[in-house]
Amino acid sequence: MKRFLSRSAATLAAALMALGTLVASNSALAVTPPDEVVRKASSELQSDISQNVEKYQKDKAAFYSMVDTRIQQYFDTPYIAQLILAQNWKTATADQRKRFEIAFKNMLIRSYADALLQYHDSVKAEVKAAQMASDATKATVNSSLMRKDGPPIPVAFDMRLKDDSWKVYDIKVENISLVTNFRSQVAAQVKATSIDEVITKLESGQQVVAPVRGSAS
Amino acid sequence: MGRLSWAAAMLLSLSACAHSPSYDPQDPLEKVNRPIFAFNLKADQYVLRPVASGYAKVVPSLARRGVSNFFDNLFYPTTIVNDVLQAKFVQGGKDTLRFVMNTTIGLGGVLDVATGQGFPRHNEDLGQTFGYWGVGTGWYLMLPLLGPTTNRDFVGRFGDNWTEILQYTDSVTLGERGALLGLQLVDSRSRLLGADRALNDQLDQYVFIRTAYLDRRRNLVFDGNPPEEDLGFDEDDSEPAPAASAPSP
Repeated sequence: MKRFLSRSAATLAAALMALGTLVASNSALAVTPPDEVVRKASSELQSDISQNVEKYQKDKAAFYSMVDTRIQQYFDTPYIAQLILAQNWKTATADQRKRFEIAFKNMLIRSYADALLQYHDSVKAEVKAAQMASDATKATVNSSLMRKDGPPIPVAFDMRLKDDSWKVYDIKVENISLVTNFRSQVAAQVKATSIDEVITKLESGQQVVAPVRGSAS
Repeated sequence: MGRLSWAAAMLLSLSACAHSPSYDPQDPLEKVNRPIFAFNLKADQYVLRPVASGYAKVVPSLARRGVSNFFDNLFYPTTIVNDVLQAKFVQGGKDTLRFVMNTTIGLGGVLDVATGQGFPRHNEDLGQTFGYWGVGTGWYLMLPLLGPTTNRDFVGRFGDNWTEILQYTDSVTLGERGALLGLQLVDSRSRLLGADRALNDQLDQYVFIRTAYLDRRRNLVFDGNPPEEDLGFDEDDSEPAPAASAPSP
């Protein structure tokens, strides 16, 4: 009996190891194509939200941290920070670069995650196949947000290949680019105040002076 | 004659328009535009948004959809005329059919029956026509109450007035036209209520609206497929500035 157990344990271990190398070699060989990455990320998020929607509505902090952990592997946040800071990137210290990157990411999550929670079951994302050359290092994935009441909203994800995986570096809603928009805002604000003040503003989560009161849907 | 020379002067002002990226636009009037924008925000906060959100609360969404459809259809001749001005003749034909279909079977435009029949809505206007033929946006302008525009789109707006069909009928009084325009304003504002939250989350609302307006117009000019805008900045491996450096004043 003992021998049987130890033998099956050994077999199991061997099988697991084989499986492990298989998975590792597989992921090294085939890079998940960009449209597949977007599809995977959105379906993961959507299913997590629909399973835990009540919990997340009560506990926003848990919701934000779930979104953070789920999406961070799909976004190239250092590159986004660099694109947005543009000229200011050159003069920023390593610490300022890092702080901006994190503060900006958190600000985006705070701004957009609520909409995810609100619309997770009334909006469906239709991701189109990406058209690109096999050796491309940049690609745009187009998708449509299908709504029940209103025409679909086109959303495009600009992605690039980094360390063998496709990562998002810009999102365009009806061609309104997140990067160009925040780049111009940050440039204007840095000019008016300083990069440290802009980062502090982002970190505090209170970017604007005039509050907008609650709106009907 | 006076009208003609006015139009000629405006067209001439367009020739000076060049293309600038939306993150670094021509905004020489920023010092004037910003206070006007602040005024518009106040007017929106105290008048337009409360009215629009009240409208959205009281009127059921199906009825609001009908109102939106009605206005989209009422102003659709603008799209048809500009299809032709952009030499998009096939699209112009389809849009004419769409207009006829929605005006008749769609009960004056309240129902959008044409979209389901393969005649989707297009969005064209004279500002886009200028852009299509290579005219740049020119300066960014913020108009009191009317909101953001550019030299090019402002001129286009004037030109598009001739395709507003209500003025050619005697059966609609001036008062009724005014009421319709008021309802249209409330309708368009109510469609944007969902975006208030996004506007609130910006670092600089003026710059946000400016960039968003310019990007959206560029998207419309290129019918949804604008050429990639050069971000003017690629991968940068530059060393960060030394941490000891004093924060810039």
